[in-house]
Amino acid sequence: MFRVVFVLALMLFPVLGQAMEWQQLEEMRQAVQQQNYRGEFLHRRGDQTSVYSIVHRFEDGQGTELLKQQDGDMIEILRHDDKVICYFPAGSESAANHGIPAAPFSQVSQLALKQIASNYHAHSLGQAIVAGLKTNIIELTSDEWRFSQKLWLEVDTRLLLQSEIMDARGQVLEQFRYTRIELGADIGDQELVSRLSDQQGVMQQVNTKTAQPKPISSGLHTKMSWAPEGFNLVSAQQQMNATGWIDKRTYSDGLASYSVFAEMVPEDEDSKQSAMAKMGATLAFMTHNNGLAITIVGEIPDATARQVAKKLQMEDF
Amino acid sequence: MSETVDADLILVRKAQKGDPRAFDLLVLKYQHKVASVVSKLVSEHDAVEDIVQESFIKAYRAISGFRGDAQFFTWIYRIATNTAKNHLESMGRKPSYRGQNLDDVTQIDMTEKLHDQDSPDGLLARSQLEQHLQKVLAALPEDLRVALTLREFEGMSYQDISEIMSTPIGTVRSRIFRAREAVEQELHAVVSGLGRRDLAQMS
Amino acid sequence: MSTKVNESFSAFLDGEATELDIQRMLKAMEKEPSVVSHWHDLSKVQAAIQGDPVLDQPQTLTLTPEQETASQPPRKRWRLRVFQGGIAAAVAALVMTSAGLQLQVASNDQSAVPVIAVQNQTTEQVQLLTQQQYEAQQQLERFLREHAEQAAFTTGHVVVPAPLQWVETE
Repeated sequence: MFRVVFVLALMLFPVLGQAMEWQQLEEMRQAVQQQNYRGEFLHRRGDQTSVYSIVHRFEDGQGTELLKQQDGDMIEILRHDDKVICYFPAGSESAANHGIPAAPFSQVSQLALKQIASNYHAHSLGQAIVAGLKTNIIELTSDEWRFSQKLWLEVDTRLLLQSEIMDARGQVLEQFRYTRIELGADIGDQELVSRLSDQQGVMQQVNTKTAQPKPISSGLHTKMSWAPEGFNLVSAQQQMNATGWIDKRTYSDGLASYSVFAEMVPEDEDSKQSAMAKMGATLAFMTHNNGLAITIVGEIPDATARQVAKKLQMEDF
Repeated sequence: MSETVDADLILVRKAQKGDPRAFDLLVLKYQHKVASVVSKLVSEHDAVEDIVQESFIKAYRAISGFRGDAQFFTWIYRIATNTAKNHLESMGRKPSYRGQNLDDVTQIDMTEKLHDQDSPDGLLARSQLEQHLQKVLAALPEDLRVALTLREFEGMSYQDISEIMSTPIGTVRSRIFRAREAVEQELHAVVSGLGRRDLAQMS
Repeated sequence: MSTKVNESFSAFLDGEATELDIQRMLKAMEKEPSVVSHWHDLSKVQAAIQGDPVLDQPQTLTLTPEQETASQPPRKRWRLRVFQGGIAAAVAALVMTSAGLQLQVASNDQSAVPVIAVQNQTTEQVQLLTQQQYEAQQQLERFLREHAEQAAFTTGHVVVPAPLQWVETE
């Protein structure tokens, strides 16, 4: 039934010829969250590689997942429905400063397919074997404001087995890839218990997924006069901290997003200096403009970030 | 005598337009109160002064974002507690106030004065200072002493004091100022070295 | 310095200042910056009576000439450094983090660190610089975390923490 409704919904999409690819994208999201599987995946960002083991079970409408870092801090993450418990072995507590690891498309509750279809072209690139399983390859390309992506989806379940984010020159900035996967696995309760849960000296961080607040329409001290075509504002808020106020906005085109953080700097601290740091496809661009210290973090090309920074200015009071 | 105004807000607006002197007046008014907030959280006397200074610098940097919805002191209070918290975290210590995690503390007891938590030496110094103060206040001419006492200990407005003392507000202003100046002159030796010593006693 | 303006300051301490008091005080500060020292003494009396800790030096932004000579050089430089902070410190901190040298300023290889050069740093300056870098690093890490978590919910982007690689400064 859902599939019928979904296919009808696809009729509204601007690019009907790619409907099958868009349908596979939604099926991919559902497979990631609603299939039973265990395996190991590798994630590469530039020179940095991380390996995780994953056990995922979907039962009675609820997903439970145990993700274990196989290198580095060796943290373990147990997700059950909306609750997340992160276990940090002794000595790895500083890892709590980073985001809690999550496999691609495991946290998104709804893909903005219509928006994605407006911003990207989907091409089928045939089939390939990943971790011993046959996959369909879909390539998503767009304009100069965003990166391209390739997705390898297992042919029967549409589970994402590999993905790549590429820059305009085709260079792979980030790669996710299962090295071992067992689909349709029978997963017992004991597999979904962190071995760190009863150990001494292990720090636990418990989070509950909450609904994203709606973007505020007033109260920000800055105004943004431009966003690359296809990027919509999904979050806007003002935070107060020890350094004063910080305006935060997040824009998304459905498949990529960037966040803009801005705080005021006095004239005598204003500077022409800019700096850029990267982590795979994620960029952090820090600059000063119009009396503001601006930090842009997102999965976007350098030029997009620079252009965004230029278009931010103080609100007139 | 013209109307009393919201001087803090006027000065904030001037500071927002780039007048650092306006901001300095706010610093002069609130610096010891901010030190009081910080000293509840941080025990090292050198750090207290640094955190107070840093808090005001952060406030100045962020002054354009202050809209006047809250009192200036409420705003600087938040900045100071966050700065103190960051300081403690940077020193590898968990920020706490009265055994509670600082994140869970919404209000620091501003009525709790130094002597409530001071060391024995600190209590002695405080006690000596109070004795000095009492002597100096007792020696003030009565009209000055009453005006200052009603203001400082009873927290009365100039209007209330003028009614109690049956004297114009302008006279109340003048008496309170003259009382302060007299106390300052009498206690100059003590008060001018008080900052260092007083803070030192807190550790 | 007239008594009137000191009286204005006293009333200001009590929240009883008028528009005229404000004008008078600002004018006096412009004409005679040392007035701040006397007002600071008056504020100390109020603090002492009320049981607040008493700060020895005024924490004002505009130093008076006598403060200039009396103030301790490290504190003044520190003040300047706070205003200089920001991006350079943030990037320096990032580089240090990725090199596993968190909170260690005295790195031997600062070739890639676009930090504002500080000649002959005293221990105190180094500590202060470290503190700023630490704060800048914390802030950037918070931005990265907030973005990563938001992106995971919005676009499904993977969350896999990795060290940032500094690429350029201008």
